[in-house]
Amino acid sequence: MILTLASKSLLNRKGSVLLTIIAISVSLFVLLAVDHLRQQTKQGFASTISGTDLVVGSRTSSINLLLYSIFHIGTPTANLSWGSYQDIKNQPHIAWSIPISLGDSHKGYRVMGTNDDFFLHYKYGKKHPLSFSAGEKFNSTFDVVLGSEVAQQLNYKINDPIVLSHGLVSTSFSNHDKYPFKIIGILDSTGTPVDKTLYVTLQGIEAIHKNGKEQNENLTPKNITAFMLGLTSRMTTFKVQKNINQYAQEPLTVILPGVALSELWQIMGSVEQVLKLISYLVLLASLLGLSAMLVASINERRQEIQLLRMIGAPPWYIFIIIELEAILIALISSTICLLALSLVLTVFQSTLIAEFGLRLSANLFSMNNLLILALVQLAAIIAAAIPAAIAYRSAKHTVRD
Amino acid sequence: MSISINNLIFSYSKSPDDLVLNIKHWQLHEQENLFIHGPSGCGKTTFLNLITGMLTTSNGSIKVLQRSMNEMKGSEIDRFRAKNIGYIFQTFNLIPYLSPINNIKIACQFSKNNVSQSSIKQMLSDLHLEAKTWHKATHFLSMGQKQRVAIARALINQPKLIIADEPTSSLDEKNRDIFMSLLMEQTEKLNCALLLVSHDKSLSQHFSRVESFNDINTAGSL
Repeated sequence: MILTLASKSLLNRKGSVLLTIIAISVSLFVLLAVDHLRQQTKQGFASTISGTDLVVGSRTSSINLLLYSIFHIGTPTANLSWGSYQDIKNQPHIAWSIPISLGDSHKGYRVMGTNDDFFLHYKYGKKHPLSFSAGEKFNSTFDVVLGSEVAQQLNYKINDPIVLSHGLVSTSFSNHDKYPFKIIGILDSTGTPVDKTLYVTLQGIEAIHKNGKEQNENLTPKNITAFMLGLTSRMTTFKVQKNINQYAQEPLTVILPGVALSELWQIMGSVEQVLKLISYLVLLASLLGLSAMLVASINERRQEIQLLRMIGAPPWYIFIIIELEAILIALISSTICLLALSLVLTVFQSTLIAEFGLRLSANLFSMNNLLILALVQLAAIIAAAIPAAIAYRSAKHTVRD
Repeated sequence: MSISINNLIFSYSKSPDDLVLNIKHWQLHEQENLFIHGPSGCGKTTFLNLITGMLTTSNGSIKVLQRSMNEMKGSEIDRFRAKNIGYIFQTFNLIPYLSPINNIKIACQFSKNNVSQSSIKQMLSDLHLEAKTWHKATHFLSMGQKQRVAIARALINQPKLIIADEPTSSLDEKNRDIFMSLLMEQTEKLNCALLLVSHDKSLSQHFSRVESFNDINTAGSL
């Protein structure tokens, strides 16, 4: 009966209750969305590279190297020479290597020069190798392999010709028109920056930059941007790292991807904390709104309280009614928020992937989220304690009419 | 004896000039119908709140159905009131967003009385309330209908004492007469005492005993 009383009372005050529910839902939505985004982005970053022991580039900061070589964020600062690469990859303990040559683009998507070893050794997620949805790996100098999203968004098929642009912006006027590439393969979707990248041969890169000269000359590159290394045994990681750091011919930076990633999170940490703080403050504001709404309602309900008392309701009964109303509002808000967030994630999934390369799971029922929701219930109970106490007092002490 | 009051002094503040009630000796017998008239603001509602235990005082003794109100604990008074006193206010007698049936059920809940749905419905039709009003929220009902539901709510627990505070003041003449005859009929059926307080002297005709509140309460008449 007390539940009927509380819920019907809320229905009777539809206007203010609805606004309060919307306020709490929106703030909860912000909180959960920020948190979900944070977790999923972290997971996305962490799953982009796996199985690669070291990444080597010219001397720069480790985070910078990680961002431009693996995540294709930002611009490479300098190249390293082909000779150094050959030197290092032939050192002991090194099982495989993948050269990376960046600097060109196609319609805003980045182009990476590499060789067949990339398709063989690059792994993502839980050591998933790359796989082709169509076509195959490089056959000749002017072959290009597309990430799944590039193919999908630009509507490309095998054997279509494409032209690369110099530089990384989509509006670049400097096109390598003379040397069209032919699409030879399209990769399966991975949910990583691989999807947004075009892969060409190192020789292809070299050829298009030798504008005007003959094609049949030596196309061995002089420089590359960076390279990934796989070791024969993880035990040797630090030994190899030390060797490369002390490489005499050229100053180089060598990073362990996992370590660099955690450095990145440390920097992002404060931003995360600020975002978190803001979303909790927004939630607090909406809960104070709930409290204010309930306090205001008690003034309108003095007669109701007096009536309940006269028919024998003890003062704590009045307290419980107010608390129940707050709990109902919090429960409804949580439900609305979860539904809205799932809906948004489902509806905008393709947009999020296309625009930001973010692959967000629509599953919101993580332990963390459930904890947040439980916390919100608790916070609502606490927020309602003030109005409930006011109601209790007014129930306990009959005042002169 | 339904109610027995001796040497009651009550005031809301500590100042002796603010005395609201000063009642030497006053009684209501069992099954007695008593009408008390008096102008508004003379302390009638305070008087009733003391009888029902909504207010308490240690100055004087108030016995209701042989129980001394100032010796009971708060929770005891609440239970006592739920079981033994049926109260009718001037206007706000029902939770507006609940149906007549649910309003009556709440009253049964606090008295821990197991009243069947059918006896609630029987009572509502005895009070000339049509079935179509039973499940509607009471704020859709007319004032006359509301006050009749209030009678049902006050009587459902078969209390030994009915108290009504200006129950007809918001009714027109026709509804007032219907209300009064139904109230008298139902209290007679129950064999309970009725104490009705109003400024409207024309209600006197229904009662065997009529008093003026100023005769009972000597506070203010120095």
